Amino acid sequence: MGFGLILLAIAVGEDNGGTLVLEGVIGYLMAGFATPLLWGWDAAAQRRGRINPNFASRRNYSSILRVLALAGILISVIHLLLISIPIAERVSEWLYISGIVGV
Amino acid sequence: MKKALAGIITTLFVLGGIGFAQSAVATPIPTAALAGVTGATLSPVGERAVEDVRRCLSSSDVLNVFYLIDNSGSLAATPDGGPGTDEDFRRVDIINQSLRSLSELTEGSSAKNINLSLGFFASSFSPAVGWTPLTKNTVSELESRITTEITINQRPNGLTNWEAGVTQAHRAIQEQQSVSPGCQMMVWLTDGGINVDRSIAAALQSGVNLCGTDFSGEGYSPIAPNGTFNSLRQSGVAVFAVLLNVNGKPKEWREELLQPLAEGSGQIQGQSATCGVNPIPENFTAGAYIEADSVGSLSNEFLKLAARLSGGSDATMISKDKISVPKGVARLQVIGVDAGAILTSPSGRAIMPSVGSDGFIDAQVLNDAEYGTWSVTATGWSPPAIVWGALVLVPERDPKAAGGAEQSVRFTLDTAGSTSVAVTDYDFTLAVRLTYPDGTQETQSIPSTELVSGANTLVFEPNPAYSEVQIRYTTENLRTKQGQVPLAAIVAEQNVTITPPTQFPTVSNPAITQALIGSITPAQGTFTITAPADGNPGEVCFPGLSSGELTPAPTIVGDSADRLTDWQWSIAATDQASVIDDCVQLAPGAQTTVAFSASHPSSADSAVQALTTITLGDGSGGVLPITKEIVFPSERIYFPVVGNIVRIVLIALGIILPFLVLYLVALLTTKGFHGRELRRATFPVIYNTEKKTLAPADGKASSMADLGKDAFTFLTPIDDFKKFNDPELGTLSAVVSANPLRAPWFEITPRAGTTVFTDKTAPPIYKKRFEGGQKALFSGDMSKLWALSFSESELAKPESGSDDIRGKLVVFSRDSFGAAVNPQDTMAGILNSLRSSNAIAEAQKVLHAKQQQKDDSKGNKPGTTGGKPVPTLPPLPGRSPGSFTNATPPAGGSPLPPLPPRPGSRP
Repeated sequence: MGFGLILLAIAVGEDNGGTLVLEGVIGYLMAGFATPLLWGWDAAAQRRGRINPNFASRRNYSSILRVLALAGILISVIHLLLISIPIAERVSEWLYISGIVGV
Repeated sequence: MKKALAGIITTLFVLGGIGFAQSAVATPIPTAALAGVTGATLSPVGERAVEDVRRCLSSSDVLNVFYLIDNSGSLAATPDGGPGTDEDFRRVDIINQSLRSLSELTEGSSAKNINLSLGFFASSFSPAVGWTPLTKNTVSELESRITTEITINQRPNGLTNWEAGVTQAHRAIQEQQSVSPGCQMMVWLTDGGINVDRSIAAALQSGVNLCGTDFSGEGYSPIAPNGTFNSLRQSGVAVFAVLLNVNGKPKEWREELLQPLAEGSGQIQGQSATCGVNPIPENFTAGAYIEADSVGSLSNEFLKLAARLSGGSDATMISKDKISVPKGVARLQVIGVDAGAILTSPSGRAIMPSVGSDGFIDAQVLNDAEYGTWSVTATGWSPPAIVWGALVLVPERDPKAAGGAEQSVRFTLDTAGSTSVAVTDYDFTLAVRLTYPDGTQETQSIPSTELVSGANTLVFEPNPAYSEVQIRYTTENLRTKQGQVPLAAIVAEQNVTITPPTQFPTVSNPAITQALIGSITPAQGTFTITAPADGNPGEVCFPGLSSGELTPAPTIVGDSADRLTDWQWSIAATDQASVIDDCVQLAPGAQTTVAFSASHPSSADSAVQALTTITLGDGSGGVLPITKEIVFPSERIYFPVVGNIVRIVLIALGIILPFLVLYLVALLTTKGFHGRELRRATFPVIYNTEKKTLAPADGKASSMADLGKDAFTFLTPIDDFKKFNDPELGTLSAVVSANPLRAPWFEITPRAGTTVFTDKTAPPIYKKRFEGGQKALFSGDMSKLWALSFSESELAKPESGSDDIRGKLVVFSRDSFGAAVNPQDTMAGILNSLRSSNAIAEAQKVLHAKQQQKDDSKGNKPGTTGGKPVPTLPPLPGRSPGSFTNATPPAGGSPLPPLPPRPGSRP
């Protein structure tokens, strides 16, 4: 699932149109935020599961999620860079219009 | 070199033709003999750039010129300490002479208003001279300022950041255009390839930002669509990019990029590369790339360029040092001559380079006697020579024509006052092209035989659906009749305002009061609408006027950044205007204004062209839809330093945030499990460090296995816990590391003065945290927990010499599915764990070491206290000296019971 989310995030992040920020944020949330969240969720579930004597923990599953989460965080940097452009433009415009910085 | 820039600008203003047609008899030279003498230095795109500037100047009196001059460290010295490309500041002379030449062009009948600005670029852009009207009066001061800036204030230093320079130069031109619209030109001189932060990646990214396409194929994306140079072309700036490639060294991609940037296409490392929209659209202004391998040749290149800009063309009638000048040629110039060169006319007039103009000789044909063969006496001179004709075409300025009926506009053909050359001395065809705002075109072709000297008329029927049409005149195959010497085409342009029939109101072209700045400040402008000229009322309907939103939105027909959709348009009539639905009602003779604004979420440097349809009503039911063109500048405000800061902050936050989430998830979900039916028992025990055995200490049981289940008492049920206080062990807690990549753990923190041990061994990474029994790990499930607790003094026992330590064993257990606690199995497990563990022995060592350290720091010797000998404790009955002692009571908790007698010992 995490792998699928990353692929989707990459696809969404390719759009460079007017909704760049929104798509970048969605891409970031999916790649850089959701996968670590899922990893944490799995770790918590496995900790709780160990209480039950019938629970069989899946350490491989956790390892895969961990790798995916780290990969997702790295990929999310792409989205962050995309988001940074329009945000920097807005900040620049604000600085310019408010007279704080001249061209 | 001095004349180089001077020439460019000087001759720019002579466009249109300062003709000096003096009669003379030319001696035609066979065309075959002239083959190969034409030295074309400009590519076809470069030639078009020259034409674009000339055409613009034919319809504008203003020229805004920005000099963007390389000021990188390579001008002063090479990185290895070699001589720089212009260490003697010869560029100062070049620039200053060009200013003097420019100032000449601000006078006379064809005077232009020249606005000049100059800036340097190296690692960043550095303004030097703000926009200044260039006149005879200001030139001296400007020269002085530029000299001071170059030689004193802004010495060459830094890298070659093209993007920084070009972006700021573009911004400066944009701002000047809003103040004083006119023709635009950027002279961009650089001596080296793009170099940003000494990083190939940074240079590639910067190059792609300028180019607009990923010329490298490395996957870079431009920061703005189509790139900076496309924006320059689209907004009408002719960029003349000059590369000073000293010694003609082989070019890297860093230098080769210059041509595709300036001209839109070129070769990079043998591969064709294009930049921005390609081929360059007709309504864009092309740029030109010029390369010189020395300061001297750069001077020549500038001269040639200047000559072309001023309407000259390569002379085709040169044979060695003889130049044939037939009737119709008004001026000639030989370039690349030494200071002692002489140009001699057929009449014997000898002309030398004028003072300060060494490198070329410029001569005007004064009279009929000078038509014939001119000779050049110079050392090592070789063509080219440039010739000018005298033909001048001047379109009528700001004409108006009523739409829907045959109309005419005027243009004048003459020879600029020459008495010896007439219009009839030239052969050509006048191509006329009418272009409406939506791009539709009509063409006419008029042979020179149908044209007369003086006023001529162009007859056409303006399309009433538009309010303006642009007429472009171009002479095709312009040649002198005598000798058939080809001359540079004459290009001229006029914009004709199309007025509706008199029964309809008129709508002015929009007056732009505010440029679109970024995405926050919208472009603003006004239409002035005037009642019908026939004195009747009328109305003007704007789509969506009643709603305040221009709907449907105007069609974008030109935008460098291709922002075709997502525009937000608003429109509003003045309060005084009478508005019914979407129509402004006009009483006879009335005039009012309608304001509009436009914004877009993406910012870009561009000149936005949009078409909107307005419906005119004549007050008696007649309607006339017309298309109005709205053109406004769009500026992208972007500070790279802000971009870097935002990037760093976002990446930092973006990475920290998921880790923070991981930490919070772990914090919220990590809890020790207590549950119901949990029992607890405490047993006083003796641990033998040598044998790693555990024995009951209260005398009630002979061995651990005898400890009964009655000792286990039920605890108050709770589900789980973050912290749990045990009266013997201390605090049991769930711990989440600040490093979310580490798994949470559960630990027991003993009470002060005590130590604690469990069956779990801490991993090496936590060795320090858990050493010496300061803390102990457990699984988190209390039903599986047992722990040994010793007082520190018991554990240390530095002087006792005994292997026995008295402590407490705390055991938790749970009834599982109705099964009772099984102490025997539990104790067996504990004993097994203890046998395989060295934790207690190691803790002893740590405590001993600490004690030793403490003693050393006090200056004590081992076995002494404060310099006094420590009394040796008496042995317990039945024990040898140095065996277990309880002389030191635990620092906290209940006092330990006395040691029971060992089996077989005396009571």
